[in-house]
Amino acid sequence: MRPLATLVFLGVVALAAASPSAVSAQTLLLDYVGFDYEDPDPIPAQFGELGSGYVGVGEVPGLFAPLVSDTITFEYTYHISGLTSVSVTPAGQFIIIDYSGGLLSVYEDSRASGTPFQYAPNPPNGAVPGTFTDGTPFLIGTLSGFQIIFNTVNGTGSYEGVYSVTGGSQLGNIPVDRRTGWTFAGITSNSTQIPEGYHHQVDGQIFLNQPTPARTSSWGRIKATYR
Amino acid sequence: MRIRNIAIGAALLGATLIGSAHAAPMIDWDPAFMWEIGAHPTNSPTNGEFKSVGVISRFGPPFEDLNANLPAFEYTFYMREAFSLGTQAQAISPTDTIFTTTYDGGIIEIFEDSTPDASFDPNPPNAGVPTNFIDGTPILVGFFFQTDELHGGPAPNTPFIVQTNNFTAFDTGNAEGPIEWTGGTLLERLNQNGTPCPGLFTGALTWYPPVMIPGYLFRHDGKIDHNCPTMTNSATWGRIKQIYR
Repeated sequence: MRPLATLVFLGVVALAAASPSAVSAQTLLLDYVGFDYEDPDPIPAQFGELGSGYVGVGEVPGLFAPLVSDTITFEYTYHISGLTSVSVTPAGQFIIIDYSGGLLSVYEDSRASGTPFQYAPNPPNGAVPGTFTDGTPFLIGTLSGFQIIFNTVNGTGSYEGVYSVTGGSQLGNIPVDRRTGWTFAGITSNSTQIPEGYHHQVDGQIFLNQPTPARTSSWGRIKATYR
Repeated sequence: MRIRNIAIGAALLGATLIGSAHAAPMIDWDPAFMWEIGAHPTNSPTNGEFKSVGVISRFGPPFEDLNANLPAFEYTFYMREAFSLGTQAQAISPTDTIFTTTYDGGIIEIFEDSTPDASFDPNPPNAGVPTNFIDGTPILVGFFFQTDELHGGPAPNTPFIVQTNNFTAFDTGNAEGPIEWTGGTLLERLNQNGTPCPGLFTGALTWYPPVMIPGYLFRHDGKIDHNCPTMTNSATWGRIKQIYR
């Protein structure tokens, strides 16, 4: 290849790699809605007390590429488990609760032969989380840095955490360098739809980080590399 | 009389439990974006107008017959005229703070459009935003209102609130407000005993740069619930009997 053509080619590659969209884009992976409760729940009258376990169950109406799903044939449900309250910081009308550990798993269950999910009251019980964890593990992932911020006066708040995909039938569809991301959700105790025994209604999403191939470089440096 | 009342209470409780078996949101969107000229995620100057547009991705009862994913239609919403009452700061530590902005008023409209064209163009308002979100037929129109009933007491609940902070790793918070529905072609479906049930606008928001579009303040993942009054508060059988004595 001629030196000039090589330089032009490399210049185009360098510009493409440095474009902002390649650096900043993240991928929406899941959209989920459901309810939360505590198990174990050492002090039932309190939420987030030290040692309590945060559990979330619900449906997953939004599944996006690179996931391959079939919402006609299957129902998709999620289960958040393994989170233990390790720190509670009250501040005015807010509490900030930090958790250790955690898993967020999505299950694929046949609508024809499986068991429909059910928000049975006062979980855990015979239906919860069982009707949310039956079927095929579709996506398994760990949570870390999970934190809830909640306004105890107006009854609203949010949570977030780092999410890392580790298993499930879809693991192979997610490139190895894109298996880490984050989840966040709004939580509220003001909905009249909250079944008895659950604390909040939850509406959340998971994003996957994109790989960041861009690295700043000068034109002279690129030329020098190939001299 | 006492026995009859207890029976009514039991029936109501049973109805509540059955109803909760499939508590899907009435309206779910993915995503919505919000803007307010002059505002920052941790500070909203007084009287700033908060606006939002969103694309609805799913309907639940009483709109489960509407399909938000048909290519020939789009369902969108537009929120406007919510005016900032200012931002209050709550220190958590010398460096960490939670910020709460309350808003006065607010109008929300849901549209059904047979010419899908909504796009979150950067730096609103512009030629496409909110114009391409407000064409079509308004199926629901409502106002954000102040209520204390949801808390059963004098809690200072406001029409619409935004909660943010300066310490979360992914710049996350939430927004919420109750809605009084007053119009739209499908208003009647919200009726319970002849009156439309209120709605609850709720969900998470983020201002994390990798998922933002230039010119918007927040990205919102949320929904509106059909928030009819029901007996969903936890109660024992003894407590229910006591209520009706």
